[in-house]
Amino acid sequence: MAVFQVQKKVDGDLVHFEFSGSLDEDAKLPVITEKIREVHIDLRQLKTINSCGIREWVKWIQPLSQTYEVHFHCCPKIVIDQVNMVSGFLPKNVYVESFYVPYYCEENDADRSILLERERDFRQPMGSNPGFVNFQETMTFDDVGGEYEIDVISAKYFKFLKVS
Amino acid sequence: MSNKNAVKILVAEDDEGLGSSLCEAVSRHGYTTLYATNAQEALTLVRTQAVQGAIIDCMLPKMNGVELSLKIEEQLGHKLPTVLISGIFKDRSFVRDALKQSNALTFLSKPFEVKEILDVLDQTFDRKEEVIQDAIYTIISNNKPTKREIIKSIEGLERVHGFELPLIYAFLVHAKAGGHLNIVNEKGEVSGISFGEGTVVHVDIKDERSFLGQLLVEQGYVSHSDLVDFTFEASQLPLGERLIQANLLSPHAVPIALAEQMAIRLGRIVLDTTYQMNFSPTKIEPKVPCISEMAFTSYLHDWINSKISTVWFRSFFRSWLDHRIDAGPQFEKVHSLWASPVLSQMEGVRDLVSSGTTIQSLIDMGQYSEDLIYKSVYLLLAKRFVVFSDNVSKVDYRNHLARVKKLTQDVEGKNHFEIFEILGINRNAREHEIHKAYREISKFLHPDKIVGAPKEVQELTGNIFAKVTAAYKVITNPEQRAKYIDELGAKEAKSQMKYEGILDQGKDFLKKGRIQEALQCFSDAEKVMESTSELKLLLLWIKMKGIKEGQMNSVLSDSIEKELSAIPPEDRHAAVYYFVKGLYKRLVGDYELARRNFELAISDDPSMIEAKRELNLITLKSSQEGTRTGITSIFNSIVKRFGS
Repeated sequence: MAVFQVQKKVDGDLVHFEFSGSLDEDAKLPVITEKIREVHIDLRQLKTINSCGIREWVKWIQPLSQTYEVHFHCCPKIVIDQVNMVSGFLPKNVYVESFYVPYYCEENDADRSILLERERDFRQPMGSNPGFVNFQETMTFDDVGGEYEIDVISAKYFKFLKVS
Repeated sequence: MSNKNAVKILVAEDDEGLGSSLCEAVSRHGYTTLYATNAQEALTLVRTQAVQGAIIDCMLPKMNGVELSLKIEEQLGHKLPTVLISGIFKDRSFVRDALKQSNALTFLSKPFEVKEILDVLDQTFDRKEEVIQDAIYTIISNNKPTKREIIKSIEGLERVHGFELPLIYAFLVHAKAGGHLNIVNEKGEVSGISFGEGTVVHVDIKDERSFLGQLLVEQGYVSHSDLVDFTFEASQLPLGERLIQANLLSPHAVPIALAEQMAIRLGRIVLDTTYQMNFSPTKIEPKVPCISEMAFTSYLHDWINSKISTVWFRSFFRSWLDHRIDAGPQFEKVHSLWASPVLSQMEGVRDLVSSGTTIQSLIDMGQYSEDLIYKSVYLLLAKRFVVFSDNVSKVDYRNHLARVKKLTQDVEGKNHFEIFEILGINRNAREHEIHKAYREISKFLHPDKIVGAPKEVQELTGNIFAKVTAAYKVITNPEQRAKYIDELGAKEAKSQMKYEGILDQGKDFLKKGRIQEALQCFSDAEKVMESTSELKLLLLWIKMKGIKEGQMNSVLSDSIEKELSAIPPEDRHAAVYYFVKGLYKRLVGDYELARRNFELAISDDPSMIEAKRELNLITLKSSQEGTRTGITSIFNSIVKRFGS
């Protein structure tokens, strides 16, 4: 399994992280010592999360979200699965900026993922504003033939957006 | 429902006025509609669009609606949820035949309220999303799912009952899956099981207790006295490593004991409760320690045999009772699985597979207990030896009547919540599970399903269905449910305290040899709440106290063995279990194993006087036999010397 790694870049009062590898019992989540306002985390390279990693994450994100505004970018399916299942994985003051929706083509036996972006394609519910999500059940791509079907159960996958 | 407009409904109606009105009403309700004025257009639309449901007029040009629905099924390879409508064909026998042939959701005679169609669509497509979550049902009725289909089905699961976990584990092992199964219980505690190419490589559950030391002693790798010194030693090193360093333990023993500990922990979450879960596939290399596929089968058997209640099995198999049990992708006539304790009691069952047998027909045979049948079928499903056929055997109204009569008896005098508990629904079940259970029950209790049945069947079914429906309406009311759960929680806490009090008193009587009083206490405890493993063992203890040396016969021995194997694996590492097993081994004449078990009992509970007493008795017996043997041999040698 790929070791958990963190790349960090500070940009004024923002800090950008890129997490990659396996979020598990050996993952060392970063400590922030700088004076910053927002934390942006790119999660696209996160490959797997186990139960130990979930607990570590919840312990780490809770105090972080109480101090800073946190933004998740390019969340892979494994992150969205935990967001939907684990209370505290996405606490208040943490926003999903973009996330992937997987598609599969039986004909090509191939997977593809589409990135949905906040405001353009979805919105988390906030106060009296309901959430929404626009997605296609099936897609075709110019560079490859075949019809790709959404490879998740939409009611389950988009649950965190609380669309009814 | 989250995204109705993704659902495409075909409307096949040659009356354009009615057809366009239907399309408009269904579209306004959120669905996407596709309109066809004849069968050919309808078939073209089905071929080119991802149609998910249909409203079909029975009287279309050149092909009637029932024929069209069958042609659609042939084209798609599966049934399409369909509502049949007709202005001409209204008599009961036509309606019955049409429903039977097409397996449509319902048949509506014109004029009908559009709301009736919309309600059916809503129920179907809300249900459809939840049925997709019944991935387990998909796998157990699919003879040749690919590895991807199995993993995707499991990935699609959002909630699972604890008693379904053995199936999930088994499917992931069978599919040689790699990944992390993450599980969250009602309290929000996260557990996880990691699979690597069909082996279990890691089990992470909240469990303060380590079994390692005990397992090493139990398996004979280290003595209790050697272990004691290390157990309480303050050290960063794990216990196994310390023992190895002190040359008290061979390195090969630790992974064996750790694998057993993994299995104990895996079994500890097979409980009568509901979990949320997700599966995160990833490549994980098999490693040591691990639970191999072969070892896994024996644990699987153990969990099924000792942990899952008959009530739950009944609810799980309720909608499958009349489905044929067919050979699955792993079926083999010659395989060690048939020799397992559960299946070996079902003599001849392997020959019944694929012969038209159903669970109901096995129950009707009267040859096997209901509990044994469920356990056997569950084990065979988990190992992919069997699958359920899509085809339902012809409804036998005598069976249906018997089932309904039994259900009527069971729910008599019960409140609404108790009725659903009888139907196998845990009181902590989420609303979605209650809905699902109600739909399952409706499949065999709804009056529409027994059109044409004898009057007695219809009446009884109608009565019980009304009771279940009334119960459903009450328990899905959030306030009433919350109130009931609070009251029940308080009642249960009181019962638990009462139970423990009575049990302690019974144990006291037992230790003092006051057997009748002990039995009375244990019988009172059973009335307060469901027997724990401890109570079952105490009752077995009393049973064996009543058996004298030489009285043990094979029937009694088998029955005691069965009772011991029904103790869940995680409860087999405590003093009382070792002691009771020791008693059993003594009675069957296996003194060596008896001694071993008494020693284990003492190592777990040094104050267990009964175990010490039994150990002394065995030691005395051995030395007496040794003395007797010695005297006999001296006598024989004297006789020999003076005789020759």
